[in-house]
Amino acid sequence: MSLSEDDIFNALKSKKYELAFNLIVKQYQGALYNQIRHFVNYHHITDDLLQEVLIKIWKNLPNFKMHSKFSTWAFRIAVNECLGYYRKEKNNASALNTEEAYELIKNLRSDVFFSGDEIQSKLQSAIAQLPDKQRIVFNLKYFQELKYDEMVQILGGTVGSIKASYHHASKKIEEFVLKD
Amino acid sequence: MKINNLDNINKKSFFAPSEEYFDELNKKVNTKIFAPKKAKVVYFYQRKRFWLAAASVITFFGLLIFNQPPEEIITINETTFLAESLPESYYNEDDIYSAYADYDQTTSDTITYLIDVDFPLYYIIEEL
Repeated sequence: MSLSEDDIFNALKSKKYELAFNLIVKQYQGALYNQIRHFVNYHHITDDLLQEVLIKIWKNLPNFKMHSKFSTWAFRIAVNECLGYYRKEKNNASALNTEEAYELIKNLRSDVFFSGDEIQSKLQSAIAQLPDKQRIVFNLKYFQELKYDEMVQILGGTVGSIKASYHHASKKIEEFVLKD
Repeated sequence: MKINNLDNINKKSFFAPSEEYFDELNKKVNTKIFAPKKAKVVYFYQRKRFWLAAASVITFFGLLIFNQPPEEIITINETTFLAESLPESYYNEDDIYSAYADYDQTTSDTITYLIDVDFPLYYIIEEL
């Protein structure tokens, strides 16, 4: 059965929050998992954060104004949760070094939840080596395809600084991914 | 494997957790959201009001025991009326005068007056 945003909106309009929540979970849990995992690399952390995101979606459902697409709103919650995680784990969430990145590639290949190919695992490892800010900017731009001014709203700073971060991140990733 | 640029990489479906994982996840989330919260047993001594009440009782009895009025007895007679031996803060001068007025009007040999003093609660004046 294919679900659409309209089904969710209709459930919300008629204040059937439990139904709306179940539709949302079915529709977006996979995408949310992917989004969070790009940020944090490891399944067990993703699992914790995804639970928190779903709980926050449930709690805030009655306040959802239906001015934007539901997916945008849900992904924004997930991004904020990841940023909160970075802030909380500031000392532990630092970038991986090259050796650790290759270790991550190995781990990803044996990870039952990883369905990507060799180049995708390499990309994921390259992202893991970026400093926190560049990693966040790259994820938002590359995977979420947010515009720069939207990223300013989430991260603060200026469009120029975010563009610079994305540029540096892309260069580093290309160097890592494109080399043999 | 070699690629030319990042745009050639498939951005979708990096991770595809199993249905079993999502079933398990939904169970956990539903438990947190929908399961009724277990009543937490709070013993009376764990409540703030218990300790407030206990503190009040202890303070009351503490004041009662340790703030006894001084045992000194003031003797009043016509010639030495004022309780000069007492610090001023222990008595109210008006009460002393009032006691003296009553003394004048009685024929009893012994009169005991209770006079309000600032601190402690009572002061005994005895006239022999």
